[in-house]
Amino acid sequence: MSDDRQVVDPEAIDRLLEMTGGDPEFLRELITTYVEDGAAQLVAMRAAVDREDPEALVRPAHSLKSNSASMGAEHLATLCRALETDARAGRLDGAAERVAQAAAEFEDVRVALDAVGTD
Amino acid sequence: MAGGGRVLVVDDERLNRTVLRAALAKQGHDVVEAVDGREALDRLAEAPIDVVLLDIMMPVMDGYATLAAIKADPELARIPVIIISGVDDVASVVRCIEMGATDYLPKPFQPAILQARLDASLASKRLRDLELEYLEQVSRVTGAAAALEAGAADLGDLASVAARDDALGVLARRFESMAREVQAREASLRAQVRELRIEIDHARQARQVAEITESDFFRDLSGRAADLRRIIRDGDTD
Repeated sequence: MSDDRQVVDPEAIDRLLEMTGGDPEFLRELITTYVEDGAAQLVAMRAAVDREDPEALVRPAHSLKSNSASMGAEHLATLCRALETDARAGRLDGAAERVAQAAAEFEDVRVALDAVGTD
Repeated sequence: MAGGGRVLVVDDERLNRTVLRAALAKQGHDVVEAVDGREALDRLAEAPIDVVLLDIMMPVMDGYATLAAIKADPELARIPVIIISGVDDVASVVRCIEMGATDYLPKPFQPAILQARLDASLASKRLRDLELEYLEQVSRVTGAAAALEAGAADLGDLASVAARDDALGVLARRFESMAREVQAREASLRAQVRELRIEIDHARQARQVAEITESDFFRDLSGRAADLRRIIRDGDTD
């Protein structure tokens, strides 16, 4: 992580716990689901950019945006939102670099969530 | 809380489905899941659903097409559909509400909003179900009245209507009692008519017998028969 901002909002994690019954094991499962699906979404995003196919970028960027927002990973959600918006408009300007940023942020989120899950 | 319902969660994201399943179960609902619109329509065809939580962006069949299919089907059209949507996707929510969606649920999910919107939709669905049941039962009573007027023996089953503890129940019980009286009176009248017919037939037969026995021909025939009996008895052929 390159600055002092929160990678994962702890309030979002509290809200998830409250919604789902307060079971830490269940939260652990949610984090695993998020990490597995997020890794696959990043692979699909990179492939779409490599193929210069903005349409194929929309869905994985949308999914990673939505899931990251649910897990309180606001910065990653914002990066993905911008990629999704541009991809919907058929734009791929700087997409490769922004997908790389998203991948680096995802790694930070994964580390932060690992820490949450073992608290 | 309005009491548990059967909720169909339609979302291609397993994270959303998992969170919603746990949150809804915690609120006392039964949860059915579908990963896209096509699967959602299959689930809706299998068993009754009280509320649908529907994501918009999905593979195979998206939320718009799914909502359109639900609203086009008379059997499904009255099921409330709550759209699952990102807070930044106002245009999609507006479009879905114009297509007949009941409400929307912003992502990330907030427990209080999830519960309030689900409870409101369930309450509205239950009220509509009660209205439809009422209308169906009114139609059963009017159908029975028409059947009674037409003289039908079977007036249909009014037991469930008569068991109601409201004005319709009173009407159904009163109607059943009156219908029984009318049918009993008709049965009695039919029996009396049958007896009268038998008496009339007996009188007619007696008159026909008298017409024959009182004729000259019959008297002549009777005389000849008496002569014959006498001849047979006495052996006198003279």
